[in-house]
Amino acid sequence: MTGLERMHRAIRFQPTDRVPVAPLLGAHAVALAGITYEATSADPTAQAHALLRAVELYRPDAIFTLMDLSAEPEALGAELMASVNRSRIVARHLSPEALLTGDLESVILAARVPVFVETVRLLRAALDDTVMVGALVSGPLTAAANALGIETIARMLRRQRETLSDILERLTKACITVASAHLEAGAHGVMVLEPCATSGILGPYDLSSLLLARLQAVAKHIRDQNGIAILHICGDCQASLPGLADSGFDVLSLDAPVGLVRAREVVGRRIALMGNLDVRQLLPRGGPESVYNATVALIADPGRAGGFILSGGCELPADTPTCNVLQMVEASALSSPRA
Amino acid sequence: MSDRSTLTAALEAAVEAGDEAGAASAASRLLEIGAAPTIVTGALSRAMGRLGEQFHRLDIFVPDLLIAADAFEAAMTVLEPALNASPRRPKGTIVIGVVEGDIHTLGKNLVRVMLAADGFEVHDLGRDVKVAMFVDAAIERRADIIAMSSLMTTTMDRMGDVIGLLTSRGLRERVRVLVGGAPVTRAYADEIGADEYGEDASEAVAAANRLMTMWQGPGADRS
Repeated sequence: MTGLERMHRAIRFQPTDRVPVAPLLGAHAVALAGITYEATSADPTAQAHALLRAVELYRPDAIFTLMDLSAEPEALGAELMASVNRSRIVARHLSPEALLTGDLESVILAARVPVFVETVRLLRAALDDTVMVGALVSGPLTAAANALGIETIARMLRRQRETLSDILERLTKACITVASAHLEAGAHGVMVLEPCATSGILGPYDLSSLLLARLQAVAKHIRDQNGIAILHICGDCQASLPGLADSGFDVLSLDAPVGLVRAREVVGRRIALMGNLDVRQLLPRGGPESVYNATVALIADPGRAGGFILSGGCELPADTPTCNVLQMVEASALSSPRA
Repeated sequence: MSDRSTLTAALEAAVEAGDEAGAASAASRLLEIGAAPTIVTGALSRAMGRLGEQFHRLDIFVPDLLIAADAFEAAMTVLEPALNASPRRPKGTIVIGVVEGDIHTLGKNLVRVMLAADGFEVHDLGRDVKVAMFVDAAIERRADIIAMSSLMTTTMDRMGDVIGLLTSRGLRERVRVLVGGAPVTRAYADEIGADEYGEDASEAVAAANRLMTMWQGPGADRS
């Protein structure tokens, strides 16, 4: 069974020889390859090289491009700055008006977005159908939050809902455009990143009234192109799980604060689950034994019912020890066949 | 019900509804009828305290807290001349900021308002604050607490650097450290040697109060 087959079967709740493993290795892979973040976010060959080395080392069932939530805002016109260590962040946000005018669907494919699309093309050429090649795309709310600033979005949620709704509608189409570009380049699936849809920021009412239909449109588009549709939410989103279960995605990727046993009870078999080893403490700072034990526990409980993909709760930090990633993969390999 | 209690209730309701104009108006009217500034700050503190509890229970969400904070600040702007004329003794002095490399200010701003509502004197250093700036500001302001926020795993290690600098400058026993932010956990706070951790804005206020209580207890070292 190839990694891609394992992923496909898992999301359909079909038996697999073991639980598939799909950690977001981007930042870690780049560090491991000794390539700077700047180089990998600007050079698809460098990024693909780093990710392929990680595939060789860890043998995951899926590999995703580097997580960079500033790519879409930059394409939309936001000004970036270099953060300490590695990543770029938005230094100067746009005005809401900037997102209400112009053709976002063509603008969104500018700046560094093509770097990630080309990285997908290189990964697919190298891996064919052995391993799932996944692209990461900012969801409409997260693209809006990073382009305009989360405080602006939070105030708009209460004071300018109509305007925000218009912006989200336009960014939904832009998100679909980026997802399509990745799928056309050979991605087997797309992970839509919506860290801002965490419960603290977006309550169940706001989710259902402003975002859910847009997420469903994105998911439908990905699935209509035979792509695996994955939705990732950071932080604690337990209050929103009933809505997220109806998002139309194949997989819901959850962060460590969400208990997956409880999540499975809420979402039933409407959506497969992915996650959610702690990437803040356990994977970067825990010992291999701790990682192994946590992985075994995760597979034993949420993984028991199938429809489960083992991963971290978010992208693995760059300095995650190699032995910890290997423990995670090995623990999964020892798992028994899944019903 | 007296004018004062009616206006106090209106002020609390305006803050809880995120009504900036209503909060400013009620605060202004209270001062006009001769209410002491502490009556106004008391009402603001009660409203923000209730909101903090609701937020902690996920009965309300960040947008609700944020517009309430806006209303709180609108009332405080009205109140500021009266407060300056009769300064009150704060619970403690805090310098607060988002660590170097990180510009996500939402959580920090909410904590800043909640701390101010609870009676702390808060000096906001803003975002992307360099390690030395936290320590220099703590010295300059004679701060009891440095409060730091980070939203990114790539920047949260700067919190430990601030603690390291406090130690190397011989200030660790004089300045307590409170940390928070999405990727920060209690275990991480312990690992870097922070004194307290706030999971959310209301928890951060409770943590700051704990720090001040500990500090003022028997054997506390404030030399």
